[in-house]
Amino acid sequence: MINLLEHEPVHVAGVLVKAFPQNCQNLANQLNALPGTEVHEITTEGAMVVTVESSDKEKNIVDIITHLSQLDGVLDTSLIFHHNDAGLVPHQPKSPNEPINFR
Amino acid sequence: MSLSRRDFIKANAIAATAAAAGIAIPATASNLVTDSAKSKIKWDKAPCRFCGTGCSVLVGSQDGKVVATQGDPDAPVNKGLNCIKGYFLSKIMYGKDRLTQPLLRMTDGEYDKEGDFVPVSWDKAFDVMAMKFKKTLKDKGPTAIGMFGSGQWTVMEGYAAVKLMKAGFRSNNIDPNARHCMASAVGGFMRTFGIDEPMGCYDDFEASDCFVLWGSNMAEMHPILWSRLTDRRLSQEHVKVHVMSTYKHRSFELADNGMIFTPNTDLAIANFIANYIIQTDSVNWDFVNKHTHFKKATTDIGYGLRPEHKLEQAAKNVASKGKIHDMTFEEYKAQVAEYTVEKTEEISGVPAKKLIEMAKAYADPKVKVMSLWTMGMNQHTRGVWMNSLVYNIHLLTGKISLPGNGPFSLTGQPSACGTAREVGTFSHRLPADLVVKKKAHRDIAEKIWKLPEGTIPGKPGYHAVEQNRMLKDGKLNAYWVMCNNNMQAAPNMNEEGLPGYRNPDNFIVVSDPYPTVTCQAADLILPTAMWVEKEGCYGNAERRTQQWFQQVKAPGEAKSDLWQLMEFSKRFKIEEVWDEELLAKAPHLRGKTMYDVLYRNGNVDAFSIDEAKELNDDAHDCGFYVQKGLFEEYATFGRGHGHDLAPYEMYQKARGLRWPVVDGKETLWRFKEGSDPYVGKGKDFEFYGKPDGKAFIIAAPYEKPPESPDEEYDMWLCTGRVLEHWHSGSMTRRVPELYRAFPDAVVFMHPDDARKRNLRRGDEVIVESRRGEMKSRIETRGRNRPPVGLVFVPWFDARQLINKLTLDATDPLSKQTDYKKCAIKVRKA
Repeated sequence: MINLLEHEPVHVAGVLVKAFPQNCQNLANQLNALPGTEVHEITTEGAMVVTVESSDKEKNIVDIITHLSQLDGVLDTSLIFHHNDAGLVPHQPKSPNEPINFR
Repeated sequence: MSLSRRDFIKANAIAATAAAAGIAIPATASNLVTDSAKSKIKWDKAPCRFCGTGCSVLVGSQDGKVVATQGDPDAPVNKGLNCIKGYFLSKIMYGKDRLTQPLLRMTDGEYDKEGDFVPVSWDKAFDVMAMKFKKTLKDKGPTAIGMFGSGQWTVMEGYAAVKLMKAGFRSNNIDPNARHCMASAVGGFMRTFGIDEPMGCYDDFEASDCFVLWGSNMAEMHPILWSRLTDRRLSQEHVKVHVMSTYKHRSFELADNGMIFTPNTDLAIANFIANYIIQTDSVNWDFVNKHTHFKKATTDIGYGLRPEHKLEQAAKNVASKGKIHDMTFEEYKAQVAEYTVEKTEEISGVPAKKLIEMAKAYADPKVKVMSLWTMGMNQHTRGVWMNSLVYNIHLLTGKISLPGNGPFSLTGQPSACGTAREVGTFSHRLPADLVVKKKAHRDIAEKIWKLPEGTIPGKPGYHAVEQNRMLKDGKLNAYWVMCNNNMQAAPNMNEEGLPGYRNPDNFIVVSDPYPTVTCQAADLILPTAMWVEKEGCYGNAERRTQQWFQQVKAPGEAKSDLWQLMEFSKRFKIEEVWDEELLAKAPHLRGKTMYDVLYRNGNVDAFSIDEAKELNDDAHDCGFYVQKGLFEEYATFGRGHGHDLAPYEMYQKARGLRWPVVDGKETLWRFKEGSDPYVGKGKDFEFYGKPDGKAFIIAAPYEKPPESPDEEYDMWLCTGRVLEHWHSGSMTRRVPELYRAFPDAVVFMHPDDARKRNLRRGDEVIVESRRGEMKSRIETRGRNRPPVGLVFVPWFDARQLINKLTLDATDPLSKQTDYKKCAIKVRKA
């Protein structure tokens, strides 16, 4: 969710990165080596939960996401979450904890 | 547990991302939901403003401003996800240079084509505009009036525009920018099936065994659909992905079989696959015998250039280009037999092994195949043929109209289907696949519109590329451009577009939210309300019609396209636009305005203002629920004829519905018994767009493109988009995050080609064609990797107008421009 009410945004983004499972560990190592980038979870089907942080206000977090989306082996990236704490409640799905799954 | 602000946010980021990945939410984050009482934000749904995927977003507004957006978790299309453009969608309305007042070129307080832009009132703007339109009508008649519209218009706006032009001004010179993007797809559908738009839907992504991308780079252009395709590939080991393109791009990362082909040779590849299916005895004879006819296209039809061009003079069958001839299976077999794997490898440059691997997937009856394409196949001087050649493969094997099994033409604009195609804003069309040249079709429209017989002219008007030619030639003189940026988009800008707009005989009006390249070439600029600043509907690529309400007010004096069209129509008495002959047939309309005749006809004004929301500026200006009235009158065209739309109220609640919607039920797979209510009992399949329910397998050969590299212009140019920007960038370049992520267009080139020209990555270069040149920079790395001999240049950058170079050759059948191949050279600046 993007929140324009944020006056002093903390630059943190949650990014869902997908790769072939056999490439995930190698990619996770590369991602962890990028500044402010951290891989938190890897699923057996090749989904990685990644956060991207920037301490520098001027640094565009989208640039980092653009960079990581072009690494060899990255199949797909989705920006899921970006600085959001100005009293804004995300709209809840009908059943709040239902995972998003296309299958 | 105490957390710093940053930790708190990070935990939320992880939780949200994990949820999107289908992983249970980690405990630390699940408690971190902020207090909803603090929030005064009002949430409502709207389809995304960008591509044809039709993702739903939730829009949060507060104090008259959009303050937040998020992917809509209840939306079947995107299930909570957004692409990076969609993520920043809320910022498109708040660019610093948003237009808020009409601007007219003036000198000393009077309109002057050579004057500077000066802010004027809407009254003054419409006074001058009406005067110019009336003078043109008087001097030259309705064929000198024209409009260039949009696949980004709402359904209601496109419909109101068609009425204004075709019935009000009685000019068929209205065409949408969708001509540049979807016309070949329409042509293919009409020739093969007799009815427009895909038979399948996005549910196919989760049911298919094999995906074939014909030129499409879905990873960047349709990221949410790509995400669904990627999930399918990663979750099912047997699923395979074949990717064809003229250069390597991000979609190749997922490809099991990636293929780079020489531009235009997709024609040969499709014929090879048909040949392979026949040679390996893989034809589904039961299906073919029951549901198809073999036909043959007329060949040597030219390239849609100006008639005096030497290529048009040399072409034998320009006049009879659309004729389709009967053919036997044996004749068809003989025609495709020419495309052996050896010959196809030679023409296309794709190794035989890779071609066979792909052909096998199509031929194997057990493999469900989904073919996907967009501009690569449509922006093609043989685009209509190419669409049909892919349908041929699916028809020969009976792999169509079944879950996971079928051809799927993707769409570039949010309502290219809904508005341009279904409403029929093309120069030859009317709503629901009707066409102006058939009297029976005009009769239907005139009856629904309560207008006298003979109101709509029978001759198709000027199509997009022809409009620019006619402006330049002085035959089209009063011209209104709405909701598109054609000066940056249309081909051959130096020789056709700009001379046309600046022709002293012409008056050019451009309606837009931002001062685009097109605005700068205009004489009058009208400031326009966009997206959730008005109520509307869009229709996406899977036949899904989606509605949204107005959620905020437009800035300053900006007004919706709908308001502009209707308000302008009030400036004309019907006697000023219709001749005596027509008026004599409807004496009761004398003395009325065009507005009264077209929009106060008892249909459009049938619904009370009490039904409309309090925040609905267009409806309150009219005094009736205008969006509902327009929608319901429009829906009359298709109901009972295979294009059924639901009652307007249903769309207000649903996350879109896929037509035909019959008895409140949407249709997922058309032409298949059991899933499509229009298929007769016991028919199994019925292609009811054709009189006998049988689809056409239309043979067409490989033919050369109009321009190929030679000694002087030694490279191919292919143009297209990048993930961060949508189309000409008039919206996305005003979002700081997106602008900074990809600020300037570059020339993607193979390192060997760069070395040969003594160029290094980042060097400034001149790219030049026979028509114009452009300064840019070389990129030899990154997301796009062209083969030797081809460059790729994105066209979003208003400071680098690649359309000065592109050729205005079109598919002679669809009149769609080929933006994917022309000859250029590159040298150091």
